[in-house]
Amino acid sequence: MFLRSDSAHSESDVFSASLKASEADRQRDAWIPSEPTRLALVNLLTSAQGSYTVPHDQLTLPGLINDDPQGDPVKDLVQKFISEHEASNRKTLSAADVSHDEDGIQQLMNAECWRAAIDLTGVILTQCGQGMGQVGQPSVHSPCSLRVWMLRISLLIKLQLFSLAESECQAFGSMDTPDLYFEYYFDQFPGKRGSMVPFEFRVICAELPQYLGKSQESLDRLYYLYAIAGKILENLRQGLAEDGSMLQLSDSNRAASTQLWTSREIRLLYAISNCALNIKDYQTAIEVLEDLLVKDVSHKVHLWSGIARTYLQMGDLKSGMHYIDLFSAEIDPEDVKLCCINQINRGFLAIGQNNFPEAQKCFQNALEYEPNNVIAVNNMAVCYLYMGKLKEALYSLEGLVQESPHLHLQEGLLFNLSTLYELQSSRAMNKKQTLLNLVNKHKGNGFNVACLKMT
Amino acid sequence: MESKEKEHLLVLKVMRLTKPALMISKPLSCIPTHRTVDDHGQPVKVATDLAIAEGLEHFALSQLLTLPQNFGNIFLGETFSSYISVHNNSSHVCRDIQIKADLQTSSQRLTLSSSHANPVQQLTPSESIDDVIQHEVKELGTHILVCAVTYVSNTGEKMYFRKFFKFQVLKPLDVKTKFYNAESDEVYLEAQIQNITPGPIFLEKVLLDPSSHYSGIQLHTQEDPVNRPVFGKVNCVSPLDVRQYLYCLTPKPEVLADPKFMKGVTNIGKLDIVWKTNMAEKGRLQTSALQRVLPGYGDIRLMVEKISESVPVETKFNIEIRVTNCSERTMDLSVHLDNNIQIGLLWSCCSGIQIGRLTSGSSTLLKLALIPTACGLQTISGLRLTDTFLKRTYEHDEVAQVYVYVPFSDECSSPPVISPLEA
Repeated sequence: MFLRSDSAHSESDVFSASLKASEADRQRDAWIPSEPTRLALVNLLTSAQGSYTVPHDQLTLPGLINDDPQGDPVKDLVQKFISEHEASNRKTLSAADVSHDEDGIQQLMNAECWRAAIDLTGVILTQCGQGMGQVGQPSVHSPCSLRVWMLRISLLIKLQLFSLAESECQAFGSMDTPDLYFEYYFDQFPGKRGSMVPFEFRVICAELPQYLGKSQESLDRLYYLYAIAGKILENLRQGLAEDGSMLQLSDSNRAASTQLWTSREIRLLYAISNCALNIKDYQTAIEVLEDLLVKDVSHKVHLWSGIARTYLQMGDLKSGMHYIDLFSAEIDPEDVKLCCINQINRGFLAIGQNNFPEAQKCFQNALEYEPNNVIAVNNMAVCYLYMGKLKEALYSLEGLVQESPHLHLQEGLLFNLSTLYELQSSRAMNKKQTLLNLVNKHKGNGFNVACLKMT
Repeated sequence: MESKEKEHLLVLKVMRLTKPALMISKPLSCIPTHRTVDDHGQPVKVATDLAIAEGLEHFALSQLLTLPQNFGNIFLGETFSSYISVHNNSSHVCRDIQIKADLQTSSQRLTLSSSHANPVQQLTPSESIDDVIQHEVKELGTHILVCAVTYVSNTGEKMYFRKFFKFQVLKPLDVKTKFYNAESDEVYLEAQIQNITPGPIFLEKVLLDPSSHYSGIQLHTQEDPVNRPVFGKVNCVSPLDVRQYLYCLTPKPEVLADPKFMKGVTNIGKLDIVWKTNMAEKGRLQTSALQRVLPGYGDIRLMVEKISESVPVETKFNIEIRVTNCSERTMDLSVHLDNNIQIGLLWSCCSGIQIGRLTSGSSTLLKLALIPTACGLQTISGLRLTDTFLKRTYEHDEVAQVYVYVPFSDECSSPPVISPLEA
């Protein structure tokens, strides 16, 4: 979600509320520019109006690379495998159905119409002068245009359109040019400091290269962001403002900012460990997770559970068991949620020991704590297959999907179900068509049809 | 690989079962993780994204197990596991169904254990016979899984069909060994193990199983109570990385006593290697017996048995040297001491003493004395042994080293430890 600054305020106290809001803005937007950018901004603010312009090559000039409608792959499949008629009856939200602003995007995303949401980001960015053919052309950034870019790139990543995301991101470079700072627009935002680029946008752009096989680039960029977050925290500790200026901050203000930037630092550590996991660099992943045990104390038990899974994925049962034991020693036996996770962890351990009947029992136990735990049902179904019980496996997964398709028609689960159908008989296609019917009925155009394995 | 399955009432499906994997998600915090409204904008019950790790929304490794997506690689020492399902796709009852799964390698044909070795009496429509077969692969190269199904159709006709599944078994590890012989009859074994699979592996066990002649200890462990290996907390070997293991082997006393064993080639033992990959998918390999070529000592072997590490200057000291006849014949030896070879030391005993006859394999102890004339580290040289039978002289220089110091000086009161050189 967005980090919005609109805190609740009563009418009588508009002034202090706006002050509070601007405080929150400053904390959120703070960034440390590179030296050339800092100098350019100083020049701009100190020279007579209009006498200094930032050179063209020091500006960020983005534009759409592709604005073809994203379409609806579910509809295409329905047309191919069910009927023309069904396909023409399919109606999902499109960009035309919502307002052409951020609220419209949010509305489309809430309906899982991610493809339509991408279309809408294209429409809005074109309105901002950053449409097709605008790469390298002058345009004006605003916090809104950058938030829309962030959503667009996030959605492209979500739909695995990595190459397009990468080519559109290219114009943003390291997101440090002067025109991405509020100071550049001092007429429009008098006295406002910091970067317009949402922090999360920086994170996803740094994460992106790993999905195209460039993990080292992702790690470099993530560690760069991590260093800046660390520098900001250091500035706050030393009594300075976030960007190192001498601005006086109240104690509560400083505490709030420290909290925000600590949470961002934590977010980056997770991103780093995820990137390491993606390339199976378990050593880095686990070292970073160990760091997080110290920095993200409130998630300690879940981190133990995450470290355990990482060790198991790597193959080290003994170390995995160590963290699973830490987890079970810490949890309150009355806390059904954690007890359920504990049983799921034990199930993973049993799978590691190649004992699928035992694993199946653990997942069954997990369901006694949380009868609606879909993960436990899915994992139990997986165990059934390894026990030679295809029928039971199918029965469990089909049960989930039939019982509440709007909740359970999810990628991983459907992927497993489609795999089981393929194993069951030559009539897999019929069964998949039944699934497709459900998907057609319940899912938006963001649905990943690849998990049905129909093509 | 498709046989004429269309004409058959039964369908055979096979799926390799590698361990299931945990789904990895891409946490994107600006996209809602669940659908909150339907297509008409009506709120729907919240469905959480199953790919998001419970309690850790930013962590990519979820708790959702997913089934293997493709056949993948299989390596020597791993266990091949496969699901076999025979499904009655027809509307007729089939009888006397028998399923046979064989694995054909380049050298042999193995029948894989099956719980359905005996014919199943009947299979009604939409029912299936399911089995999971397992086999530890012990051969490299092409393997063919041959599944044969026989049954009697509703018309009483005896039916038969086969399906073939071909796969390659690859080599997972490259093991290189090196031996280092110590003066003291111990031998050090260095094993280099390279991961030649495309993914990281967890080397759970690399154990040296010594032959009956040797006892061994591993040296790649830390000196703590649990003897953890020195490879760090996360014991993972990346693709193409090489890991070194070091062992020290000592010949057992009864072997040492038998000169026959101390010559030529001996069997040291073998390495037993266990590795794990995804969700502890296990692989195990044993090397063939590792052969050690014992160092040749020539006809005569000298071993310094007793020498001071340090001696005061200009004070006579003793040295004891064991002389072993390593040749096949009897020798008649005399000792000559040459003072021209060494600097800073002078022999201080009789030259030309007769040791006498030494039969093959036997040894004797020489007690000699020297006087150091200079301080510092001095090397004992100039020992000459002459076999009077063959009139052959064996020259032994750099027999040992000794540290010579000026007595009563505090600085030199605790001299460094010196070990003898190889003769």
